[in-house]
Amino acid sequence: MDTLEQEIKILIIEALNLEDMSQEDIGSDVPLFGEGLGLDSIDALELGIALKKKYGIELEAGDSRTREHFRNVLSLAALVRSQGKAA
Amino acid sequence: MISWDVPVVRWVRWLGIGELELGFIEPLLRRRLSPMARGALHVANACAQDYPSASFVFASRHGELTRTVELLRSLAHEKELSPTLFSLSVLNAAAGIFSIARGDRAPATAIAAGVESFGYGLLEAYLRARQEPARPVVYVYADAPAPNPIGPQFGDPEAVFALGLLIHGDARSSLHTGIRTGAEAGISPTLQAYACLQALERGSADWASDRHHWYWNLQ
Repeated sequence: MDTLEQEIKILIIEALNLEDMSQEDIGSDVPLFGEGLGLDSIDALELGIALKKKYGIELEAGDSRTREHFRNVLSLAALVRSQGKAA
Repeated sequence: MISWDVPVVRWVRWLGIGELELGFIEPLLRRRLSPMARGALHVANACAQDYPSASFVFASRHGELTRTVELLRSLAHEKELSPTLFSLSVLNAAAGIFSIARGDRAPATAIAAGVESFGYGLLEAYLRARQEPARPVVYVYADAPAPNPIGPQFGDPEAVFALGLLIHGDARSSLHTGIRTGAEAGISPTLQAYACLQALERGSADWASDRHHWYWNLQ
């Protein structure tokens, strides 16, 4: 199991206060928003701040690639690998 | 002295201990509720049971002040503000989540009036019930002690507190409520809602701020 993916799952659970959820409940390829995990736009903003705090990743609100990065845990892990500073 | 009679069908209290029944709120929505809002929605749902057409009045002296203080702390430390905290720092946050959770578009309002928040919220709920007698009104008062460094303040509860009343004309008992100016008997050091709860449980109670003397009498 990929440790960065695990780390991101823990970050998601903690930053978004997903009570009653554990890492095992979040499939790495499951969509985070809408269908799938069911997160909403406030979660997207909160997650953006958490990623910035932990990995130093700067996301532009108007950047069309942000949607791709936020697709699932796999895409977030790829983002952290390519742009993260603290990982 | 002015007084009025509030018809009370049922009432539910939450003193911060025991099981909360919040199963009617899906987990993704529930996770965002503060302890105060959890108490508020627990009593709101229990009061509204079997009364699908009820409208709602929420009241709180401090509302989501704990969240506001956390936001101010972030600002002071030049940290980014949490979007979740920001979106739910308003007084009517609990009312909004309740409406979403129930899929209920009934009117709802949120009242704050300092140490007399409970009394004025109850007055608002009573007036709504008078204005539209066919529609029951669920009145929900909830508070928590003001957080450091602002609180706790004089007249705060010791812990999370919530009290809900279902107000409707066909109630068998009524809560005779009176208010007069002046507090010659001295200012009450406790939460105003405790006095009303005492009246509901034991028959009568009174309470005074520096401006008004309130009393309740269950009939």
